[in-house]
Amino acid sequence: MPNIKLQSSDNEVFAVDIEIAKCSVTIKTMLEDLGVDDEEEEVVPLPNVNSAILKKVIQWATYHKDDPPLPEDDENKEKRTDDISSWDADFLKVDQGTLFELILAANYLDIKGLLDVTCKTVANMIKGKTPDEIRKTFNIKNDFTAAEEDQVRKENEWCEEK
Amino acid sequence: MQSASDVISSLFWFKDDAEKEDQEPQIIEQFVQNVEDFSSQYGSEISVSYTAFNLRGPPSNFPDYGDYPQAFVMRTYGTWWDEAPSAQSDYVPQNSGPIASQDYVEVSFERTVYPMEVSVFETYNPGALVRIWARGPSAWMLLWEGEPEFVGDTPRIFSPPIRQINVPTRILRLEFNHRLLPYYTELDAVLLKGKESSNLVRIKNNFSYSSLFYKKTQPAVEKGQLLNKIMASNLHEAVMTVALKNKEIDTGPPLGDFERLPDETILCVMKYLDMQSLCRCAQINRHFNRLASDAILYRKLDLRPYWHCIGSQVLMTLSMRCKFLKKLDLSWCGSHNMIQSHYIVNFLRDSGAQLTHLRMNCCKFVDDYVLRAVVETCTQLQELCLRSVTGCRDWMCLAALTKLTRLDVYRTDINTSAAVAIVRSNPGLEHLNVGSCKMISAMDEVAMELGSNCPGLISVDFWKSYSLTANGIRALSRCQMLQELDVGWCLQAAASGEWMAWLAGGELRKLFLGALRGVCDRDLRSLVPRAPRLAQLDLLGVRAVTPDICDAILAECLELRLLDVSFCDQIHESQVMLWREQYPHVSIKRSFQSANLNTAPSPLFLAPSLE
Repeated sequence: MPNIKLQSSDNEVFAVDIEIAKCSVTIKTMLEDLGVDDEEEEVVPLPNVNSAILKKVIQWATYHKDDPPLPEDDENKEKRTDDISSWDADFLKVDQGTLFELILAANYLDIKGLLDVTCKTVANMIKGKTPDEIRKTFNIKNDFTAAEEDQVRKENEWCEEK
Repeated sequence: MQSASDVISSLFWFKDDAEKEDQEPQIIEQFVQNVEDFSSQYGSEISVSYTAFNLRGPPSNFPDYGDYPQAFVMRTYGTWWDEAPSAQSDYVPQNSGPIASQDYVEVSFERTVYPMEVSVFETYNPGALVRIWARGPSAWMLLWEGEPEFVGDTPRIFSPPIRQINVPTRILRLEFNHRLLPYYTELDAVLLKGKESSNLVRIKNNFSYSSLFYKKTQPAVEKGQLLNKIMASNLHEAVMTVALKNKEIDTGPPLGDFERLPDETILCVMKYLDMQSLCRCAQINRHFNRLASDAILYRKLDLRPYWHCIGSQVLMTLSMRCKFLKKLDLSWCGSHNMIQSHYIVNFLRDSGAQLTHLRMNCCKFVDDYVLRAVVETCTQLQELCLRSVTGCRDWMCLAALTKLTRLDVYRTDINTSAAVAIVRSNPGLEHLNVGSCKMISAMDEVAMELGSNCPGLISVDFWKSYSLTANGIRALSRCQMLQELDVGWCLQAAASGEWMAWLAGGELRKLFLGALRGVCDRDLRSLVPRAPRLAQLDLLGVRAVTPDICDAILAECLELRLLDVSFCDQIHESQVMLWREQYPHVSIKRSFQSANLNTAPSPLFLAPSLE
């Protein structure tokens, strides 16, 4: 299996099977655009991903290397969040900072499967929480004025009557 | 929230008032006086058998267990309809929450009471009830919610513990999820036990409720301390200044963990949220408010799970977010005048131009005005579902639509000429449901129009079409793609099943022939060899069929999964048991009736008020 070398932002180099690395559309496109030969010992710098996160991403991609490609048609796909596999659920039992770093990395590297499952995980953390609980969970600041907050609440409280 | 309602209960428990006025509140039990509304029924519009109507009054079968026409039976059970070619899925499945429902019935009682207990008499395949709602003066209140279950073959009086509300009611709505059930569920009666009070007291309580109800929706319980103070004081400005200062001092990015994510990625997360979570996100802060209101999240809007709280104002608010709306489901919404038709018309005019899918099943607000607005605005419609819509007459106007692939007008007042005209102008029609349309007096004309005009027809449901004859069904022979045909209880077509020889069988997956007594082995034999993909076959009450043809079907149709041989007189119970052993992959249905159908219901179950 030909390998490719990926370099993290903190200069750690990971040797990865080229087919696994190509689950990142960003890397795949890069390799195609550069016309990199499989034989060559190229080092691909990934300045937006640190070594801890890159290690996790490679772990995920290795486990999922044989997954069938995801359908392009995002629009008609069911937006379930209760279908996260047990492996992914275990894999994503990380602190909140790491979870968001993984989203950023999946977004930057354009790994749709990883982006989907991390977004689902965050969505599950939002579901069932009140606005204030969401703020507390993610350290979000409330910048509404009292009048705005009143207005926004009036517009959005209709589905609370259950 | 809970503490607030506790406070309400303790403060305004009407017993105190009653004692003060020396009027002992009377506890009464009453059975259903009227069935106000329902989503589907097995029975027809011209007989009371198996209809929702049967929920009225005291139980007529209980404690007998089995399949009796004196009970209320809904149109479906299990997952068979979800697996059929005509299956429809929710536009936004995440809105349904953990406990989905497929049907409802709304019942009213003679006297208004404070509900203490609701008892549902289940006489066949119990376990489908998942929610009980009470209609208050201005809103629906949830009394109970629970998972659907499969209880087994036993009659029961189901009285789940209900939430105590301090609001009198005489209208209940029951929601059902019958996916776990092996066969139709049958409901015999609903008993409402509650405390009645004098008019005087009742008025008082109404008043106290509405004022407190308002209070309850205030956010005081949920918001932080600071906000409470802002709300409580009239010194908004002063407190605001303090708040702003605090914010400036506070370090950390305003979006917290989301700070580094681009908006498109936050939107990716939000795409997985249900409507309630989105509305809560909109209340987090300005940035989240903008994102949670982004039109990209509202291309599909499924409000059916929120039927109990959708009013005209909500529609107006949502309309502002729906610039790219493609699919809209308003089914079950708008009862008790919660939505007026002109709001729907405005909504459609503002946000409906790109709609391709529209469902307004059981919607009371659908009148001619709404129908015409649909036709004028939503010219791109491919799917239109108006099941159990009874408030309109100008069905003919729908013939102006030309791109329909699915039309569902089950149990509506559409007439023959309108149905024919719509079929004629929509040659791409793939799914048509005209079941229980009692005003279609010549269903054959509809079937013939389908045969000559809709070569791509995949499913057609004529269930309980009493004017359909063999001539009409024969015309479908030109629909070579036909995968599903439901002609159950089409009694004019019951004389003979010779039309089956004409049917294209190559794609056929589902064939429902319930109560077609003239169908015999020979008819089925002419079809079965040509229908290798048949998966669901309903022969309920097809009295002439013998075990021979069933043997052949079970052996030849390798994809068969459902076979209903209820009330097939020639087939004995022992034969059914044998097939179940031999063909474990086929679910073979056989309903039954226990004895003593004619014995009077036990006086134990008669309500005092109805004695």
